[in-house]
This record gives sequence, C-alpha cells and structure tokens, in this order.
Amino acid sequence: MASTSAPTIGQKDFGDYISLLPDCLIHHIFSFLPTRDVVKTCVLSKRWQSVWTAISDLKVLTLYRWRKVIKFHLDIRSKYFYPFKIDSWVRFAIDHEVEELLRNMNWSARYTLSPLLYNCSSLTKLCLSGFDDVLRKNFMGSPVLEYLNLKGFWGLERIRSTNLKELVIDDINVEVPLETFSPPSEIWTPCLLSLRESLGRLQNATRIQLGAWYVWVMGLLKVEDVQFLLPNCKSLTLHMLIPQFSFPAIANMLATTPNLEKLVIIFDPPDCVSVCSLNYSSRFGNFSKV
Amino acid sequence: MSSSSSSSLPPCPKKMITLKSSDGETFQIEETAALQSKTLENMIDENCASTPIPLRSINGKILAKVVEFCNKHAEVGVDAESLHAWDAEFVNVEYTTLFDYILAANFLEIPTLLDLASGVVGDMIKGKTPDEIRKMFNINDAFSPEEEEEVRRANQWAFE
Repeated sequence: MASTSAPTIGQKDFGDYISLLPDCLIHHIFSFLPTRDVVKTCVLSKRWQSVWTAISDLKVLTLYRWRKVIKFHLDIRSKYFYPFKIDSWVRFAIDHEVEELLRNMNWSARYTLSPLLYNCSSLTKLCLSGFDDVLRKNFMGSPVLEYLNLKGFWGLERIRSTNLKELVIDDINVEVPLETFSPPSEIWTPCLLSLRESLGRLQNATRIQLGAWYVWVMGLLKVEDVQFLLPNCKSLTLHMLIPQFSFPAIANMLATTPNLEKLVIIFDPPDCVSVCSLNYSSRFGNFSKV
Repeated sequence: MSSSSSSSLPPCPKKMITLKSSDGETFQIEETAALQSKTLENMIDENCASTPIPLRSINGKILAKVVEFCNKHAEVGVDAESLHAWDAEFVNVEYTTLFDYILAANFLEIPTLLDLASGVVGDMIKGKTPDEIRKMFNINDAFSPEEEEEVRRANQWAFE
C-alpha cells in the first residue's frame, strides 16, 4: 500500500503499530490494567519508557486504586491550565496520604494550592516554586511538615511551622528580578536544625545585587559553611535593612567573591519589613548548622 | 459502493446519513445508530450531515466494521448477554485491527467501541512479561540490555 503523509486507520504497513498510538490512547488502554503491568511497560522500548509517567487523567489514576501516594510532583509550565483539574489531583494526593509534594510552576502561572494541603496530616516534605496567594501572607505548614523548600518563591511574609527541621531557600529565579524578593517578616520554626540557601546559578555573574533577605540569610551562616564561590563577581551590591545590619553577612559575601573589585552596601528604609525583624536569630531556636 | 442498512421494515422513513471512507467507499447509516458517535452527532446537530461525510482517516474496511458496530448497538430488544457475545466476536480479530478500532472510535468518539477494543488490548498485555509483549506487538526500538537494566531498576517494585 502506498504510504501517504498521514497514516490512515486500517492501513497496515507499520510493524510496530501499537507504539504509533498517541499517548492518550495508550493511557486509555492502561486504565484496563493493574498498576504493576502499567509500570512494567517502561522497559518495552524507548518510546514506552515514560509513557506511563505522563498519565494525566485522574480517572485513570483512581482506577489503579492506589492506597498511598508517597511523592506527588505537580509541574505547571504553561499559564494555560484548568485549576479545577489540578485541584482534583491535589485532593487525590491528600486522600492518598501524600508524604512529599513538589510543585514546580512557571512564574506567570497563578495557581493556589488547596489550603487543605497545609493541614494534611501526612505531608512531611513540601517543595514549592512560583507564587501562591494563600501562602503569600502566612505559611503555617502541616503539623508534621519537616522539610520545606522554597525555590523562586516570593512574596512570603511569615513562616510558622511547629515541626519544621530543614528549611531550604533558593530564591534565585532566572525569570524574576531579584528586587522583587523581600524577606519574610517572621520565621518561627522552633525545631529547625538546618537552613540552606543557594547562589549556585549566579556562578558566572560579574555583577550581583542581592536583596535584604539574602543578605540576612548569609549573616546566619558560618564562614566555613559558605561552600560556594562566585569567582567571576567583580561588583557586588548588598541591600540591607538598618535594623538587620550584619557584619557576618558582609564577611561571608566577601569570602565567596575572591575577585571582587567593588562593594556597594545600600541601606533600605526599615519600613520595607516590619520591626520584628530584630528578633530573627532568637526565633530560630535550635538552628545550628548548614 | 456497499451500503449497510437495517433489514426490518421501517414504520416510517428512517433518516439516513452517508459516510465516505478514505478510499472512497460510501456507507449508509441510520441517524439513530450514528448518534453513538459524538463526532457524528455534532455534525448532525449542525446540519452538516445532509451530504456524504468524508472520513479521510478511516479506510473502507474499518469503517464498514464501525458502522456494523453502531447498527448492532442501536438495535432495540437485544438482551445484554447476546450483545456481550456479539461484542466478543466483534473484537476477535488481529491485534492491528483492534488498534484500528481504537483509533476510529477515538476519532468518531464512540466510547463503547473505544472501551471494548482498549479492554481487549489491556487483557492481551495483562500479566505478560515485557519480552512477550514486545513479541506480540512487534515492538522495536528496544533498549540495550544495560539500558533496560537501568530503566528496570528505576521502577524495581513493579518487577518484583
């Protein structure tokens, strides 16, 4: 049979016909299979390796009758999506005692996670990037939350989490100017053992300007704990809030920038954040080491 | 060329629509039977079904089977058990034809046919080893043994 540009249904000149089915139809076939058989299809061929991981239909997911979801990764790259559909996935995760939730989001997308998640009694690990209206003011965290990773996450005013042991702040987002970040006015995490933040993506930058939040975090680190170097940085501008003025922060930043030629320190007016910023270090409780 | 219509005497003139396959065959189908297809239903609703409807992605052989399926499922007075037996016979075909049914049912939005054919393919896969599935469906582009081992390890629990 002569081959045409668009294959016609009923035309049998393909050897590996099943692999030509679009993913959505393969997913439909999956809905008739036990989970184990679905996952096993990953070794069939390169085409099949990740087909099962892209199942997007919750009806298909629920057919699997999973008892428990350990890790739930929500990746929203487009700004066009159906929030109700995502809500139903998140509810699915909560109903299945999710332990670890990652949310990756394009910064232009506006999706607010269900507040139910923050009371979820199984959630121990939460990684968020992007923007969240509910979180914007007040992050409480689930009562058992132990790990919180905020990546390119801005606008947060307060973090209060009773059981949090590790807090990772990576506020560098290539899509959003650093100036838009501002420090939370309060962090209350009595069980915190470890605080990490990263400047890794700035390694090649020659001019760096850091907001007060970053500078504040740098002041909390010991010189020997600052494990990254910004060798190309020639010009460094640090924003500081007057009540937060910190020599250790400056010392740490100088330790990371061996080839620095110019240092500018700008004192921002204290009304950028509320006055309680003075109490930061005492609120860290057991904070010890990076 | 060929036509398919109900043999019983109609109490009133039945509304028929005409479907045209990719290879130019035409098929007549009662409107009531065609309504099982959401795609055709939309065309009927929008008065686009007065002239033959070209289905350029479905060939005559498969379209004939799809029309047969729709006619059977539109018949009145068929008990569930005999319809079930009829369905089982309908999908007792080569696997490539099953994929044709799936694609056609997806294109024409006929959920009963889509579920029927997908369920059979699912049953074929169920409980089989990757090797058996590869052989059954002639799947190529396989991994090298090392690559396969790596993919397997990443999803170990499913293979235990």
